Amino acid sequence: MPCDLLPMEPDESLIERTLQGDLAAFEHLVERHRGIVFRVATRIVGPDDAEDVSQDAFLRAFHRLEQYRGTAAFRTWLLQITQNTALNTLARTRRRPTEMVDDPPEAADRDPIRQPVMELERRERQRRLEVKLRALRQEYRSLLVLRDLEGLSYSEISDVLDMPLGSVKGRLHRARDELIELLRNNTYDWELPA
Amino acid sequence: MNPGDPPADELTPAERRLTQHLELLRASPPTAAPQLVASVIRGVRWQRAVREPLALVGVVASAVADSLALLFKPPAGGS
Repeated sequence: MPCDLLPMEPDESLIERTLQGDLAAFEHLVERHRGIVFRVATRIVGPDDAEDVSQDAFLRAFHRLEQYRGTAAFRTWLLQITQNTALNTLARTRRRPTEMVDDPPEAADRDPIRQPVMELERRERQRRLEVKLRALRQEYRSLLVLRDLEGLSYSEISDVLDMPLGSVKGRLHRARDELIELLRNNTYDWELPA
Repeated sequence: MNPGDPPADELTPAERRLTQHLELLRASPPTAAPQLVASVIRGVRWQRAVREPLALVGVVASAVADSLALLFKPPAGGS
């Protein structure tokens, strides 16, 4: 069932029911939060491992549900688990950033005659931006993803990354600067003012 | 923008431009396969099913180890 159609039973109530053994309640929680978990996982570990990371994160959340104290929103707690699961995956695969930064070659099936130029241009910019985002150091990448792509508040990010609020703001600024520098070093002109 | 967050005009011109570029990614987010929910629930069912037997095996193994330790424990004060 699409997330929008789910009856809006609060997360806390679904958690309570899950703890009483109602697996359908946990299914609702997964359905409700799978979008953001998958998006964050994809942006941190890349598309190949994102599904495994998302699945692991939900399984860990299920087994640790009794430890959820409700001091932060369930989504925040879940994203904390997702972030840690993603970091473990990155550490395990020992993926070097350089393996992810190289701009992949143009896809062979892009037919410029069949696709409007504007759409081609948009896709190319998107692809290059994704590559540059993955080239960021992991800590900065997480900050940018949570703030600039997912729109989390500074306070939520502070909880997810277990980082003081002041550090979140300072490091986010540095993360943006680093991405701007990466884009400036790109052959593509991103028209970024000095 | 969330309450308590700094206003957008605190961004530098380059940051503002970057935010516009990032709209490209926000507009086309990666989407989770519908099977993800089913996979998670299958995983939960399977793990729940094996959890109790494994815990039982652990308890039995621990009891056996304790018994062996008692059997082979040197007598107190013995030389």
